[in-house]
Amino acid sequence: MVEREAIEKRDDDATLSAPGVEVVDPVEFEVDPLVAPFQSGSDEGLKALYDEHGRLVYSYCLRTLGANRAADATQEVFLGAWKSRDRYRPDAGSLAGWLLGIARFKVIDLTRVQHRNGVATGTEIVDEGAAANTKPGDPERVAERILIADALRVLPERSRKMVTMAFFDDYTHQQISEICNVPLGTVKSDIRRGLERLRRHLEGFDDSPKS
Amino acid sequence: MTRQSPETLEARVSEITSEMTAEDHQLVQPPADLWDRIQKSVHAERPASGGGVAAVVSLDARRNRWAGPLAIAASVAILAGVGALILSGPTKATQSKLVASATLGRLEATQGVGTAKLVREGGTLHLLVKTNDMATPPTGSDYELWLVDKKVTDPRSLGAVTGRVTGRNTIDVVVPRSIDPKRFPVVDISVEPTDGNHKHSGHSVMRGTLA
Repeated sequence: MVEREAIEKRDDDATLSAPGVEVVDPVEFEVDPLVAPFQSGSDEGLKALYDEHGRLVYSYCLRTLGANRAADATQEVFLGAWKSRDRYRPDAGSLAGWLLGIARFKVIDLTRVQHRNGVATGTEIVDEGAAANTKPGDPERVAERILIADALRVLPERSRKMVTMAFFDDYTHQQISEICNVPLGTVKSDIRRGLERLRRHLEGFDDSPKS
Repeated sequence: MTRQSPETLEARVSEITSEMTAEDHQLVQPPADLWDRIQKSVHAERPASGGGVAAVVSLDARRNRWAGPLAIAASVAILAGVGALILSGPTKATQSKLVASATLGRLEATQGVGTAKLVREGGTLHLLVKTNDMATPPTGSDYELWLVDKKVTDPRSLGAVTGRVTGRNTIDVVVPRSIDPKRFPVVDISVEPTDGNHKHSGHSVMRGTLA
């Protein structure tokens, strides 16, 4: 295991413009082609959004609510997104993050209602998640984990590999450079680009409307 | 929204990835009919005359859709208990059907009055509650919407509605399939202290029975 503090110290010491080290380009993000059709309000725009992110939202609802309510909740999330489409700001984060942020509020609300009703009626709260052989957890944390996994999934292969080595296996940038046999600057560049993708997801998540 | 610093982002990602499991990377395919359900629910939200792309439908616009049908319905139909179905004539194209309605009477002098309408749209039951002149809830408490049985002993929560009932607003809440309005016809708005107690506080401020 490598301590984070040590990694940061080494990063500070690295000079990106030093001879033999690749310069890290500024990170720029392409415009998501789903945004304009979605914000137009058309069926086609919403369908494209659903085709791209429906599995993500449904999987999250399934994890947190269980099989009996996952489809209803997913339906409400996309309907809510459609109603709030003019509130989505592409500069604030990714559509995937924004959608899962809406799903997070929906799940919290439904869970709260379930809990209230279970207590109010004196009946035992049915853990549908367990019944569906899934593992319910804190909706906020589960959403963040699924988002990170989704961001990793869409990263270029090399970037995904390096982000995984840095954040899951705790390798230093220098170690990754040596293991992958690529310049340190390339490692830093790939990880930085990967982190930006993760940032877009997390900040979209943070920027989503409650209803 | 404030953009996270690279250090903050990296720390957040590290914290999230430290909790991730293989399950977080698994996506599940939604049911085959889910997109059709989403599309129907979106169509139900669009104005009847809007053949093309619809703008976001405000609650006021939605309320106006009812004006004609309700007048017609009131003149030709006799409500026969909860569940009485009023086909709303000209609005049939909107796929919106009024199922039942209630006048909400104030239970406290300081609170307003309102109406509740149970509407079926695209296979989903919505409870639309309009209130007038409700005061802001006391500090440290929320308004919560409930459906309750006729004996007023078994409340079923529809969630917190603070922020949506004050002033002259219309609340639109999807009634979960687990709550049958025939069994729970009493619409109730209560003041709930944010104390973690999930039982109905007993402090109801407005109430009426759907019929």
